[in-house]
Amino acid sequence: MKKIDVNSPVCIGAGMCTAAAPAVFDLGADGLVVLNDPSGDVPDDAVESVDSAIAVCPAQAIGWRE
Amino acid sequence: MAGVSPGARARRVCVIGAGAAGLACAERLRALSADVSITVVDADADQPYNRPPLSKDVLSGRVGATEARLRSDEQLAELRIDLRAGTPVEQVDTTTRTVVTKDEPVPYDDLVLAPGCTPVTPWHESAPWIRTLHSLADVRVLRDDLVLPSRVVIVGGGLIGLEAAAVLRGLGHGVVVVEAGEGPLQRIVGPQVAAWMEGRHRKEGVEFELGRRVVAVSGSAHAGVVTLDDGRRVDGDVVVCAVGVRPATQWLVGSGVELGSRGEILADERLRTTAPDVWAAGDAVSWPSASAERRLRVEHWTCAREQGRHVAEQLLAADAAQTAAFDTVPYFWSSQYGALLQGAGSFHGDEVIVDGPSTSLDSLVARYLTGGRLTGVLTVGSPRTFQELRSRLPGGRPTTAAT
Repeated sequence: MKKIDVNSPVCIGAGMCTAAAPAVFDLGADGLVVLNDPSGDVPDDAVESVDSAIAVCPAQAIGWRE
Repeated sequence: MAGVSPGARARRVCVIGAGAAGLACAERLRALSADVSITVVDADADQPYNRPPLSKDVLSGRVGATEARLRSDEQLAELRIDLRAGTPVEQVDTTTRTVVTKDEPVPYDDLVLAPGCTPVTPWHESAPWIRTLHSLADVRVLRDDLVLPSRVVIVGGGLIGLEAAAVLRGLGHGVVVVEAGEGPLQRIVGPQVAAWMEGRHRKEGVEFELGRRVVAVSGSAHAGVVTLDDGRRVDGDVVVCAVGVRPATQWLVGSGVELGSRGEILADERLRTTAPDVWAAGDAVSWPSASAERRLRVEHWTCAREQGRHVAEQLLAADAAQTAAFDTVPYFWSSQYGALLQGAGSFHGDEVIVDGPSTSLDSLVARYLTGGRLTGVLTVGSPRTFQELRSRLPGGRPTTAAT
């Protein structure tokens, strides 16, 4: 299963990822990105939406784990 | 190469501009097609870098030039994107399908115009030393100016001017913002939010000259004199011009690509231009927005990325069933004094409801209504409220083209 990484210190809370892939991303109480599944696992049917989220993130704060 | 018959050559796409729109387009093209050949041409030798942090963390020095780079040479090589940075385009021949550069010409089958904008500098002739804040090179020059504590005059109280004001105050410099409108950002966000912004910046020691036009800029690079329309002078060790940008499209005149009165590229709803197989994306482009019911030209980063991706998808769409109009709800963000400012939708509503200004300079929630309907939202330091309100805007989910 593909895994996603978030770089919280650079997140600016734009929320683009939560709109593109709401199954995977949410915003925490501080308004910054959190993963619904803290392990970073992304189910196959959500991969495309996460690709979109990575593309639209203005802070480049999310990416696939190499 | 798989899928290419012997003797056939790869389809050649040339992208002009390696900014947010051009790079997003090139990367999306590669994600969708292993075969297409991709050449990206940009006049700026520093490209590809991330522009939004320039007036924020790069100016402050928190982020270095290397960190602002969007893709490394290795990443571009892996994506097989032939980036020719530092190569100005001289003209485009849409008949022979050739991009004429100062180096070798680039032949294309499909062309994507993503040239972006260039700063408007009305006083460039009398004061060629006036600073702007648009490119990485601009920021380098400005940072070199500001080694010693300085007094900086910023002409223009828009987003870039205010971001710079916030950063420069944080670095301990004196800042005066000269703005023709009655308040900073007023032409974009209206008087109530402008008043709040003014208060927020004044609290940090920023001075304002509001409702004042600049009639002349004189002096020298390190002793500038800005003369206002009431005859008064504002002196500064450094003068920064942040009065806006215009489409960087002069080289397109006569190419067959139709331009609007302000030099913007006139695209259709799918972002096609008036020349065959020539597309356009980013902040030099106006397109008929279905949700706004008028042509829009948007200077925001996320819109540029969305348009770049959209063009890549449309360009590769094999049949009409796969084609789609582009639309988006414009979104922007800014960061000032550590607080996140976010805006979405249209701020031209007939009613504005503002929470927060009387009680706090830390957060703000402004709702813009048109005929009682929420059409725009702007918040400071309230990202969760922002998300909730944005989802209630008409078409409020950003288009992310999930196919």
